[in-house]
Amino acid sequence: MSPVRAESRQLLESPRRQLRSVCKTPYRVLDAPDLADDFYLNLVDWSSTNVLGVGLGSCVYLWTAHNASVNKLCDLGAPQDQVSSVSWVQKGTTLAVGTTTGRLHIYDATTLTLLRTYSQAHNQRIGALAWNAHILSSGSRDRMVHHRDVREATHRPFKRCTGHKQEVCGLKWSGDGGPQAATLASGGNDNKVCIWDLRGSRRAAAGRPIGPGSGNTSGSAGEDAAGDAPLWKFHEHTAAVKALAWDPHVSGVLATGGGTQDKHIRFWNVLNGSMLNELDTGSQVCLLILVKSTITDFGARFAT
Amino acid sequence: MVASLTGHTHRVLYLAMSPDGETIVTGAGDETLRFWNAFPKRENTELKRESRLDYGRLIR
Repeated sequence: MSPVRAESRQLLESPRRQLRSVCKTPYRVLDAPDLADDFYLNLVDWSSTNVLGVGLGSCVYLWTAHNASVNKLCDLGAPQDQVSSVSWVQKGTTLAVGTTTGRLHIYDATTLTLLRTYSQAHNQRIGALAWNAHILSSGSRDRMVHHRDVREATHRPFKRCTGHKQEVCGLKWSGDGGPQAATLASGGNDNKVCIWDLRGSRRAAAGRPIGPGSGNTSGSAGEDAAGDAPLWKFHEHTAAVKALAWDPHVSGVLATGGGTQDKHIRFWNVLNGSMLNELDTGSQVCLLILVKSTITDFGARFAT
Repeated sequence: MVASLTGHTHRVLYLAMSPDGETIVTGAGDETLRFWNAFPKRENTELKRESRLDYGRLIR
């Protein structure tokens, strides 16, 4: 017999939840003059080879992590042309650079050389870029998402996707299933999230298992089911969606974060188009990374 | 929420994670890039402590 009640004993005997200790001070601060204060751009990307690419004004700088050296990759030269997005290929040293005039450059970072230029990639600025092996997808203020195979000689995209009614500011390929089976998520200033499948697969007509009244299925089909229409379109966000992240562990789970008016992170099952969960973060969500079942959200907090 | 990292004097707009997953870098309107050791590998330090090459532990 114990003088301690059963519930209390259970409480005492259960292992204490280990709190993650996160260092609250940055271990390094670098000056980034002319780093644009623009929600719709994507100017910082870290490569698999441990090089950080940063777009500053009309230049792109590379910061190598292991020796902290800085290299200037390029200067666009024209004062009216600024860097609006940078993106590394998943594996390797190839960097794609999008500009405010809609040009697209591809560089090799080891030799600091320009590999090719698409001078008329988009009509307006390119704020989002995403690689899937040799396919480069670009999202622009002209509301389009273009897909180009960088091995092909032609400058024309092999596919153009129209799903957003305003600027496309977030693009993310899912890594699961290999490059052949990947799905692309795009977020726009029209507060919509679109899911694309380049293989052209579409939901069967019976793929609407739950009626509109049940409120469980939140994705809606594109107007045209053929090819260029999104597989799913999510309407729940009430502000621009820039932050997109695929779950590295569960196939087909996507997290999206909304801007100033919305402040929510939402989780989606892309396989059946349902919303799994939503979180109120209390601030604009600019970017999301999913790491080992931990969600990291970065809001626009003014810290003093 | 696990942690809130403060220090930027303007809104944070850019974020990237290092390939080993330990470090994140944030870029903000205050024109700085800040590197945070947000996800230190806890297992690593424990493994090091239990190293079989630690001969001090083998002497009885």
